[in-house]
Amino acid sequence: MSARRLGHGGEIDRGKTLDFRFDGRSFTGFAGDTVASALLAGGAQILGRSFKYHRPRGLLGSGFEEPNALLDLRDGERHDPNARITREMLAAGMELHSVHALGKASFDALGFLDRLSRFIPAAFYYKTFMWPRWWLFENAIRRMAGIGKLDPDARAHAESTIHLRADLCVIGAGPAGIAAARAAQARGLSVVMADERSRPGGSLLWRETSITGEPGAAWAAQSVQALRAGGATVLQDTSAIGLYDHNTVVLVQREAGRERLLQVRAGEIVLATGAIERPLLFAHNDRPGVMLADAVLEYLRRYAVCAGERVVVATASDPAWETAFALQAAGARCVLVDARTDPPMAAAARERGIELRTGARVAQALGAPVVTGARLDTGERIPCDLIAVGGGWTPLINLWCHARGRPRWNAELGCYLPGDALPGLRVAGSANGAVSLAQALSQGAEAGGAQGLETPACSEFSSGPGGAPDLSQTGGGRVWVDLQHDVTVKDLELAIRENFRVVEHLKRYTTLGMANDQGRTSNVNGLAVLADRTARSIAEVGITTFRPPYVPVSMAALAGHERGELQHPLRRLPAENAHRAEGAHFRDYGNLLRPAWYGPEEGALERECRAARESVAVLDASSLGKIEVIGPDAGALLDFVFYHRLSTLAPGRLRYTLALSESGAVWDDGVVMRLAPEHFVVSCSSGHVAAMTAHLQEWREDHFDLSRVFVHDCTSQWATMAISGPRSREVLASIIPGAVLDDADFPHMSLQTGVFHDRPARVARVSFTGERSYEVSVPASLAGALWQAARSGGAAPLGVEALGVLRAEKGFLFIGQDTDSETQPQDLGMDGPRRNRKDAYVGDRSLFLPEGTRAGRRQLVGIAADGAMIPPGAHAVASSAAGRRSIGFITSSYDSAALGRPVALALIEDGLSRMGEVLEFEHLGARHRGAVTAICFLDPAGERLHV
Amino acid sequence: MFERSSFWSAPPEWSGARIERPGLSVAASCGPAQLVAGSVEAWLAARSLAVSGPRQTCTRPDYALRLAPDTLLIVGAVAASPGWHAEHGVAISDAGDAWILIDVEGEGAPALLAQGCEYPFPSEHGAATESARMLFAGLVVAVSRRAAGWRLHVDRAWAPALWRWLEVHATSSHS
Repeated sequence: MSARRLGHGGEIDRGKTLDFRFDGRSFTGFAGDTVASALLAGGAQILGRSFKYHRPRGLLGSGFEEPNALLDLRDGERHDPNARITREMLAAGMELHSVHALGKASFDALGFLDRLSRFIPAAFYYKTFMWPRWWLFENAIRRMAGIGKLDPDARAHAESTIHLRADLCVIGAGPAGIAAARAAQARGLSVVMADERSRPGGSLLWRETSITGEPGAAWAAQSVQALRAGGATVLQDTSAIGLYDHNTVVLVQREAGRERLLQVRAGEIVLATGAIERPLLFAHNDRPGVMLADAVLEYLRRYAVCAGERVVVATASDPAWETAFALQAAGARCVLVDARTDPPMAAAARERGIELRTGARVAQALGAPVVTGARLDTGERIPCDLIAVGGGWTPLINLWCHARGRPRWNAELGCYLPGDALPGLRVAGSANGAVSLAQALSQGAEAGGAQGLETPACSEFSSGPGGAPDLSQTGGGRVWVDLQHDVTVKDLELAIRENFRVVEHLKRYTTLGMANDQGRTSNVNGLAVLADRTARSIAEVGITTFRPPYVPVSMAALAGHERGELQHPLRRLPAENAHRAEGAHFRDYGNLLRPAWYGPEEGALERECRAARESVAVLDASSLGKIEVIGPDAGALLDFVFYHRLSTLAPGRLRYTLALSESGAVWDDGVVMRLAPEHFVVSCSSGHVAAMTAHLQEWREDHFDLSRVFVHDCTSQWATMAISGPRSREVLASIIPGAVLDDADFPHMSLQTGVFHDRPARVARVSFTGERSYEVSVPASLAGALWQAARSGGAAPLGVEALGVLRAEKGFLFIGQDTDSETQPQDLGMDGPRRNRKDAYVGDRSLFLPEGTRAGRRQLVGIAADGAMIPPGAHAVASSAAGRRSIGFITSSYDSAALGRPVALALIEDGLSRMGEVLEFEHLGARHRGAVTAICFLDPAGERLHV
Repeated sequence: MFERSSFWSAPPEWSGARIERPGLSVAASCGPAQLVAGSVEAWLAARSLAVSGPRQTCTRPDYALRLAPDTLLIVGAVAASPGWHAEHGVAISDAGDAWILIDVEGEGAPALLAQGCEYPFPSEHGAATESARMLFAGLVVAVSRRAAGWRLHVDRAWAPALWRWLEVHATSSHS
């Protein structure tokens, strides 16, 4: 291919040269070039290697349809391993490398694979590399597959996502899109219009057109200026990647190597996404030097690059003739090969000195590695350095399909078009089958809501349909259908022989259309082959489903600025800064950030456990739920939702209870306190606050008079510090002067109110450690002051990890750790309400189903390890004649400083009937032994609550 | 291992927390507030309390926000003691410490807010009974339109996350 830059014309700025490098070679382009146009002008023909056979590949297209020219691009800090250079604007200093070559594109040491192609056809990996083990070959094959290499040190930059609203969103700023936008704006609608190119106009930018006497490109520029002046938002270098529910369009905008996501909610959407040209099918049609005719014209007119000196233009319709005429005028020598026997512009072509071959087709591209000629089906061989092909048009209706539109095959136009109308969504222009500029303008105006508007006077080089795929040259040689995945006609025929005749099966078996170009240049040709070889019509064959994103979008763009701590935010404690000041070691606990321990890690758990058992410790329990249930039916709601009856609680008293699912499984536990006859507070576990609130609301709305009971999540209103240990009463006295301290007046599981810093305080006497404990709750703005007061009173800090040990010593549960999705209350030894309650409550019936009453249920027990601590997750293993099987597993396991030995809890089949039995445990190849015990290891009588 | 204090930014001290950029001012505060649920329309009618929302501008320090068809957040005032009020058919809970109020003001406010959700903040359209609750930056907030901008009401536990989001995006929208 002897491409050259013309001395005039194009959108480039010849006054600004830009130097860059590709595969170690230096090139020069101009401001306004894409990387592709600059490489084309510089004579780079082989830009990459194909996926499977490592065949040399060059440019096919000029836009997002380009399947071959993906390069590794570095531009300053930016690194893109898969830059589609047809859409990358050139910048000075860019460093580009070919990918998927051992060596470089011009010489690839793996190029020999092409000679082995008969052994590695489509789907070879389903039949080979099996013996002795697939995974022996897997690493090597994975290393060979894939295009490009990620650089773990590269930092991707993206901008923050922006949300926009508009009455009308227009995708595509070609003639139809601009007409739609103008019509809508004239009706007073707000408009957002997006186009993937750097300038508006679509094909008007390179096709010979005039609208209202102006060149098409000028009309487009003036129209967009008018739109912007009228308040429209017009976005360039912006692709629509998906259409979602409620008329939401997601756009990705590219600027200076950075991407930004824009989410547009539109009243209505117009898709004016255009159509792309289809390649022709003939032998060796993948060679560098075979390009789409429309792309050749765009490179010529927009970037002043004449892609060849001796050009064969092959087609069966008029649009590609403009390419031949333009190349001839630029000084190239063209031979027009048209399958039609009497093309209408034959005389005009001859007048321009263009040779014609009518009623003929290209049968083979000659030359290797690049095109040096074309062999026609007549046998004639024509020397050339470029074959520009025009095989018809494929409307871009991907976004239509995202909205669940069903495309319909149009035999006359030879393409799929949008089917039945969708509400709020219209398609206009060549995406809707328009075959002339006038038709595109008219459809666009109508789509924008104009009624009775006269289509502006316009003219163009040619109009008319492109026609259906031509399969006449697919009988011999290697004919490429999907360039990105190296799928040939023979591959499709193989799949059909193996009975993969349904289009979805064919696609997945051969990977036709499954690369990142989503089959833009291959799908319809592939469907045509499938139809032809199975004696069906294309309409009968159908089409596969298009899914977002329409073009590849970087993970950085999807994340925007929602990375690091913004990606998955956590709930925070109101006294967090006080914990930081004390050297807390923080961990993520579900959706909460909490202190795991304080100070040095070495010995932290033992230190904090000893403080709680022997003196006094304070834990920030502010994350525990505080859900207020208020109203005359509050007690009744709680009776219904929880396992224990709570309406019988006296004001000022607390009760521990479980929450069951409708299948009877325990999904949370907590303490309910009654403040007043019609005022309760549900203190559920920290991780379940939102779920518990929703659970209460759901049953309230389903089962109760909405005017008689209300649920308020007040968790964040109160900061709670749990003061635990033999000296806890002294600390409480120092915090809440005037607090009732006598056990007779303030028994365990009761509540009193007080004052802290002139604000109301609640003190609940409840324990999760087994020691005398008080949970003091104050308004959250006083959290830090309360923490400091407890610390000043002598309480040592207590983190979540030590709490885990303390509660396990007492056999207190962590729901979800010591229970699983099947654990019912009777499995925990809590059978009372199940036996005694007669009223209905959530999950009641499930407790009496055969599943809930059968033998062999896993029940919670303690395990006294014989020796070292048994790791959590270790399975209890039983042996029998039938073999060995798991009969349960360790749920919690710790070294207990208080007891001087390990303690563990476990769910074991019929565990409650196995007291004293010694079980075998296995974990990662190691074996342990432990005896089944009661779950409470320390102070089973609960005397320490009153010390 | 797994130590996360350096990963998460420390929360600000809420009294006095500010983000200042040219054309943009973000300030945090908290104050008296209560949740009132039940016969809220009758309850409102008996009090001279404006109902605010994302489109109903309110300049008073005390106002009501609709969180649900039968639930209001009363800001800037304490109506009654917490608990059940049978005479009015309402349930009341204290909420003044549960919410952090974040005022986003200035000509740069719409651009900053447009990064958080698709709600058309500057639009004048909308019914007065519209809920003030929405998802902003992935977090549930209640929004009141103020004279110079908008006030985001966020749960105290999530306020540090929202504040950090505003810090990062205020820099982005400014640049």
